[in-house]
Amino acid sequence: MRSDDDGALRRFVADRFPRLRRSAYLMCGDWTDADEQARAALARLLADSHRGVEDPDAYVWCDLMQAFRHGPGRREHIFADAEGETPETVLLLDALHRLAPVCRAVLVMRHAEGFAPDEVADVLGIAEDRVAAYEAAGLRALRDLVTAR
Amino acid sequence: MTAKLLDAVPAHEPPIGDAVEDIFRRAEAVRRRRIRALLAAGAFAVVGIAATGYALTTLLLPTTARPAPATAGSMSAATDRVLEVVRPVLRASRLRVLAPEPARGDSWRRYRVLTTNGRSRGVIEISTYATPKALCFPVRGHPGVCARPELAAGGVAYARYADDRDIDWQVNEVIARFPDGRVVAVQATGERGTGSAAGGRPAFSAQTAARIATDPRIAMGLGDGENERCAAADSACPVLMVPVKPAGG
Repeated sequence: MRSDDDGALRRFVADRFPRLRRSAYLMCGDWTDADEQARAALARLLADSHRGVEDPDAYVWCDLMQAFRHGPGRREHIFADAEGETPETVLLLDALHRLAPVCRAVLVMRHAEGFAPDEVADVLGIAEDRVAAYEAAGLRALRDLVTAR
Repeated sequence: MTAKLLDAVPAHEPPIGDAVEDIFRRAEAVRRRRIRALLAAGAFAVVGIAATGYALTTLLLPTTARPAPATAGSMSAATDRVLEVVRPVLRASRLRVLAPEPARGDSWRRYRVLTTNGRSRGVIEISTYATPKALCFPVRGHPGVCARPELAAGGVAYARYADDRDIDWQVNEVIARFPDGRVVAVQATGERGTGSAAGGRPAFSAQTAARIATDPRIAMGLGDGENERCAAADSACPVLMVPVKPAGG
């Protein structure tokens, strides 16, 4: 992707922004923060596009997940202010946020965005077998947390 | 359950609004910020290189290009304690001293004397000498005879000399000896090479020279004599019409 094709860039941004924002919401549980992180990641992609970006999807998701890597870890309380969400959604989000950030990132990328294990490994900078391990552990923990309620 | 995860989120997703335009504006801001950071880093590097060069130059130059001590001194006129004494004495005689280019050594000074109109009236030379055990104030034309000195405040003994026999080298000179043994000579030399007795007359009298020579601040301004060089043969030291000689020398 290069900055000289403005139309392609606009189509890419318009298409990826909602997906990126959903991923960010699953990571942080806050639409305002998710919106901010998604815009910032796409803006950095556009700023770097004049140098040519080989895989823009990998770039923006990698950027996004990096932002959450050093953020708050496991949440210890329920989403009391998830306005408008169904109780089932709130419980699911709460269970998701009780996982470790890297475990949560693997589940979001694999099951919400449909990335292949090798793509997740590249984006998160971990080995592919670790992706499978995190995914299995995350799903197991998520199931336990949801059924325990 | 993963399907639930996918379905759960979009239900109350906020509208996108002007997100696309905002992202492009942010990208432009990021580019401008990077350019500014690049320029600032470049400017910082240039300033750093210049400062390093300046520091190295100032550190290294004095060791490679130190001037000879007998020529132009490194001390400014503002810190010359001898000049602080000479200047008011000569100002009373409506004379001034050309301070920017005094010749100087560790134990001597030479200043040009000017009228208030800026006309050169020769030079004043001040020198100090290592402490001889005894000093003979010479008598002109009578070698081996010592003059009876006059006494100034503080027990300073001094003798005045005036010599106008050579119209191209007319001097008024004073040799003063302090109680601690330090000797100071002050010589006023008129403008040389004028070819006339009036034009070559010294700018001030031997009495004025005595006021300078007997001032203890002069000896202090020239140091304690440890670096005194003028007692030995040194071409840079003032050449006195009446030389300072120890008794019996």
